[in-house]
Amino acid sequence: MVEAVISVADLHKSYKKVRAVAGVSLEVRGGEAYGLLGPNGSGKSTTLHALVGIIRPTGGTATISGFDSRSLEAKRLLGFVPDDLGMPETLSGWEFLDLVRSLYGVRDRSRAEILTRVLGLEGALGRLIEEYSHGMKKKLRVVAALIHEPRALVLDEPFAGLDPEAVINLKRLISSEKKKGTAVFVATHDLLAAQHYCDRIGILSDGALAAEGTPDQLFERFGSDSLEEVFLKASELLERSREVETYLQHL
Amino acid sequence: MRHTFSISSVVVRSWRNQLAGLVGGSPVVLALCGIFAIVLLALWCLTVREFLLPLFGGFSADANLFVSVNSLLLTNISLVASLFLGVFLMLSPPRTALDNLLVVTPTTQGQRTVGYLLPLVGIAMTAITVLYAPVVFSLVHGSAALSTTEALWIAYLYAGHGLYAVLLDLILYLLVFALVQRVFAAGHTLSQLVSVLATVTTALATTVMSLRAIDPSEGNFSSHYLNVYVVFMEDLSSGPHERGLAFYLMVLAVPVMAATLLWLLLCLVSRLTLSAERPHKRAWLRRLPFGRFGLVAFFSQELKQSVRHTENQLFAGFFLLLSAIALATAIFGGAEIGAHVVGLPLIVWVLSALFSHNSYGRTRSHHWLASVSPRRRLTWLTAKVLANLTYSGGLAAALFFVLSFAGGGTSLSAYVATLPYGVLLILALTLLGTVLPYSEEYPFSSAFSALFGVFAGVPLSYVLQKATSSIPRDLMGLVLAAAIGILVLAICSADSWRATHDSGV
Repeated sequence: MVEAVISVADLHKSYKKVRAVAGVSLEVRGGEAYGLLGPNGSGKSTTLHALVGIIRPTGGTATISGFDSRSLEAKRLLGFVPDDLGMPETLSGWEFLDLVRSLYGVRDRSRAEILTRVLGLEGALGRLIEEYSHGMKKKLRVVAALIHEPRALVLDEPFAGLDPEAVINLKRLISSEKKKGTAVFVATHDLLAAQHYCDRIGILSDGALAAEGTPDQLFERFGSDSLEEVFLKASELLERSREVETYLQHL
Repeated sequence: MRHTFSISSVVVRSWRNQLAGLVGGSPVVLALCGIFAIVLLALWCLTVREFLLPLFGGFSADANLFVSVNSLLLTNISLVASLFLGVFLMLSPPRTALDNLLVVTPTTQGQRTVGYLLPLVGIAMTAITVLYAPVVFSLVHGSAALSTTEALWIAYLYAGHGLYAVLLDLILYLLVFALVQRVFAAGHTLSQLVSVLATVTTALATTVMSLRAIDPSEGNFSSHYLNVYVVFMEDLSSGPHERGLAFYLMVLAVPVMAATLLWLLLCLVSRLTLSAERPHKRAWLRRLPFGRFGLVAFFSQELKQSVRHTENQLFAGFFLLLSAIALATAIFGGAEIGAHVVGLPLIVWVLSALFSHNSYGRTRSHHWLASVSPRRRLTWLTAKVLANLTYSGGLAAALFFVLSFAGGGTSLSAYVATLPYGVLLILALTLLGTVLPYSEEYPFSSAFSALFGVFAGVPLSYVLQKATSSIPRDLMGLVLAAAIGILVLAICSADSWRATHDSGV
């Protein structure tokens, strides 16, 4: 059995009276892709932010290869692609990547050059980030996260805002990292991508893990062969989905 | 015209919404604002009754006084126009932003331009009419020398001058807006703020110059662009026998022609200043390397971002421009700034240190990068403080250098002697900016911090200077080092508190 690279145990996060994450526990092994699904506000991004050390959890633990996720050892092994967090807009693309290389102690620029070519970003690197589109910023974040060959790759909505070619290439890139033994933890709304690229899937509802397993295990448990239906059942949204169907008939 | 009025109504609604936002929807606050406005108007009417009526009553005896008072009133109209325009321009959506939204609608560029400008002209003219109605009343009822017809002619000239001043202000506003957007690649909101400040400042400066030009005792006054119509008023006060139909036609035609020409110029300027896109921003310090150590990498990042930040560039440029003007005045006019401004080294340090205030808030959106990177928070914070010291200290050095040629008492030795105080100021403002961070989304926050910095920084420095003057000179270095150490520790604590606070624990 391959050892868990990412490990989250009984993670809690509350903002004053709002409970964002309530006791999430999961593991992602090396060479495995884990997809975290959930409706808006279910706690996906909060779980990821607590895991990578952007926010402090109210309770529970998160480790990367056995190191506390807030330790420098864990951060050296971690690559993180945020969804919509800010960027140093007045740096150029190259400057941002050079900064990241410096911070991770990567002297060679060649990996960064290859990654930017894979995602079709090489022509824009001389420009300031503030001139980038949403998709270009996302690509730059992906390159920055992979520059130091992380053992754990955490991605928040990686496909949102990307053009179809970039989505295809990013999926290939993630598969390639997986094959090298990287643990991939991805929060997404893209059910199709999750079904095809993730070995295991977790469905968050109201800050807690409502269901977890391989796609086949989930299909069997919820008696369906569609991840859409599994998602609706697990997040207790099936009733609401039927209501929406009724509304649509009246439109 | 329907489209034009629709666009105008968008602008007016944005004023209404912004004002409602300021009042907060509370009927009590609304009532208080109403009472305040009525009291202000009543005070103004009282001023007119107590001062202008008696003044106009004595015109028959002194024509020079009549001309001087009218010159003063015309200058005052210009000031009122710019102040009202300034307020309502800040409440309006930035023109370029509104135009970007409306460009997809079936409207022409001309309709969008007129639709945007019309409510601004309207509100400024309404304000002038309301404020000058008591003056006109005083002219009609108070002046023994003027007939009602002549008084109404003067009222017409007031209105003509009001329109003239409003249009001039709008042209200046549009030009500065375009300059700030194109040269500094600034965003809509920042361009709006800077151009409104420039318009109001110019109006204030010219008002001061106009007031200095009025000399009723000598009977002369300098004619300039803010009181051109006073020439007609001089004739109107000299009695009806000297005037013919041609004079009245000229009085009627000149304000109309001037307003028409200025309106055309305004539309032209508006069209020209809208057409170009924002330029690519220049990346200063592009060659500054990130190095192999975390401290150097974060320092380099911070310094590049400080130097490239639009607001920093605008204000640093403004300070350097002021210094250059002081230098030019010293060289060509023989007037040394040191003779007029007390404590210039301290002022230079306060202005330079202000840039440290935004250093925390400016980078707040991407602090996650430091959080996920394998470097200690302390390394990141140290680099930030060092970059602040370099940027503000460097700017202060540049200002000291330029002003040293203008007789400001800001020599190199003065820079070195005041450096520890400058360091203290920079650290104090970094601390303030960590506790109360600057917000990129609200440019007013930096205007507020600038004001706060000036009002709190100058007296604080004065108190510190007074307190330290009683300390023996030998111990001074030790005391300053201790103060710097305390501030550094306070910044670390504030950052730790801020990180916890932002994390929502």
